[in-house]
Amino acid sequence: MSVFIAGTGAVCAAGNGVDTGCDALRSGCDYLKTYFHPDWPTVAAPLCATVECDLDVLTGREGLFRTLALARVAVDEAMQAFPAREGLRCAVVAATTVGGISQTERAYKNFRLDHNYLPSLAVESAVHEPAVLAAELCRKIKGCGFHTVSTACSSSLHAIGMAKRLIEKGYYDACLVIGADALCITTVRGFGSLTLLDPVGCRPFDRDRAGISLGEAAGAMLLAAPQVKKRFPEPMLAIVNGWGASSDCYHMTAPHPQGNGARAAIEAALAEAALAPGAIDGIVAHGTGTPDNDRAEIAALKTVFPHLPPFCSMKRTLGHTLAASGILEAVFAVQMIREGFIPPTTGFSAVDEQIGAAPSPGRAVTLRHVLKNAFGFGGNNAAIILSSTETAS
Amino acid sequence: MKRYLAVKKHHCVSPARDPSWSDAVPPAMKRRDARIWRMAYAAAAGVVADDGTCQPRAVIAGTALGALEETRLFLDGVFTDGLGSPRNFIASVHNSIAGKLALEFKIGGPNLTICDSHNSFASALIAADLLNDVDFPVLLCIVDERLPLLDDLQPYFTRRCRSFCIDQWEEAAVAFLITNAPSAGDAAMRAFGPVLTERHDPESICRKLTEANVPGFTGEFHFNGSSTSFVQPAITAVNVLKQGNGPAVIGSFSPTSGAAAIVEIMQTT
Repeated sequence: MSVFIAGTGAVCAAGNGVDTGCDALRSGCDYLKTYFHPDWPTVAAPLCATVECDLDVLTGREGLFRTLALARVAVDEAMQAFPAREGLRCAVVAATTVGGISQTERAYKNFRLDHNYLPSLAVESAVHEPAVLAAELCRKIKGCGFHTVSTACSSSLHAIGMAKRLIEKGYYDACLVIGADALCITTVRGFGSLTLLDPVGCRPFDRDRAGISLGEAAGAMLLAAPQVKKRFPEPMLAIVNGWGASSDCYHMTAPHPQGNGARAAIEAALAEAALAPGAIDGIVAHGTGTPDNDRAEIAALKTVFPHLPPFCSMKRTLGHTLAASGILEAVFAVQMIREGFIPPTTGFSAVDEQIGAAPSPGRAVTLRHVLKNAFGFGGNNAAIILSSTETAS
Repeated sequence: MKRYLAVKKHHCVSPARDPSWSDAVPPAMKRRDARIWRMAYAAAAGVVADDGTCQPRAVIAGTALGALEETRLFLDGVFTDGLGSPRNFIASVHNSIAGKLALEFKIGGPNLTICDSHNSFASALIAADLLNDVDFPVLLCIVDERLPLLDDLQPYFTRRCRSFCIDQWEEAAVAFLITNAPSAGDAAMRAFGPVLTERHDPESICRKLTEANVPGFTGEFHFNGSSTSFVQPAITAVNVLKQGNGPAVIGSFSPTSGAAAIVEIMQTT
């Protein structure tokens, strides 16, 4: 069954809205700057992609934690495509890694200084559970159910894949898929402890790449079953055609050197889409900029694709937005299909002879089928295939 | 449409009830790895055969809070000297549990972690229903741990969540080996929800599920129990399966997300 994408939404370092983010990617913009956490002025990360649009109403008056505030911005944009939902069973499938942990961090720090803070810790850490994000969004859109996925950086591609199958199996008529993660001390310090942060900003697939640049963002997609698409006033944007998932079984943080797990996920996505590798016109790679990830991803792609399609990484412009990264970049991949372009891979300048592949320069190109990859801690791999609505059977 | 998934094996690890729970855990893992990883491993080892028969092809973890103790230890490091341990950070990620199970038991298929609070068991079971036939058998592991800090917080949680009391924080790891094709006589499970509901009584949950027009839900279930901890729905399921006294319906309610779900257990004929 073809599951349609009826609406999309995004908020990221480039700004608020899908069009804004898309323009930034086309132009190869770079938003990385030294990150200072408002509650932790002495804790600095080398460079991060921070959302600077105004969230004060959401985090202040409405009292939302930052990840939820980001999600709400993206959801509001995606749900513009869904004005009449009477009688439609719509669920929320949410992906997050940090959820409301920034609240816990602040409260736990206060508790460590003064144990009389215990009652406040109970209240403030009540949003620690990842499920709170999905539940609040479900409440907001008056949805009829929700599901929460947390598989680190691959989370939101799995969320898209699960939503596709929830619709195919008749659980729901439509699903609002959301991936959101805000920057917080745990991730900034955590990736720092792993020495995975590139001090000059990430350089995906580049010979001198040295790590990631963290970011924060939210991406949203409204998926609809074919039988209800006529209920939507605007034409469908694209199709979710296939989802593949796999595990490396190799190492808790390092990818399999030959990309065996990544290859399995990509092949599973192709199989579900009933597409041969040669049908793929473009690839939005995970492309984090770590030496190991980029090497393993290209190895996997070369195994699957005898002739490597043009590929790109969006991580320098958007930052690595963890659980949001998969869906955020998939939202922009939908725009690539609709507008016919591949963005430049900002941060790339020199070919790494060890991997022997260079991302595509920014250019106009016809895209019917696009592969999007995302890989996470624990050897977790996800791939989806997005297709033009003209390919719908 | 929801399908019943057959339960081939199940195993529950409850440290409070079984002091020897960690006997199945390899010494190296005992020395190095997060306690919640060890709990999950011990539960999974009880359902994954040593001889490779019925080898899982996918793993799905259901957890409300993940490796919370590792998160606490990591933050302690950051707050003490500005540094956190990379080991604690790696383990603190919610999907580290499923990743560890895949690594230890060589499960190369889909690897999902579902975090829906008290409803994680039901939601993880639904996730299993979404997998392709080739991805079965599936190792389903429901796990959450207990921290002394959670015990300290308990009275305040209870006060805040007006209509719901968490009797006590319980920790356990519960593993199920499930297939997609029940044989005659197999116990089988399916789940509904989570749906938003401000109340946790069976009637309210049924009404909300009916209002949500959940396919296959009749609204006529008889409840065997409702959850008082994150892992209790899965523990209750194991007890029902052990006693063979199904059919049964196990309800769960999350005060933090304000949502409820149910798992239905029946015997195939």
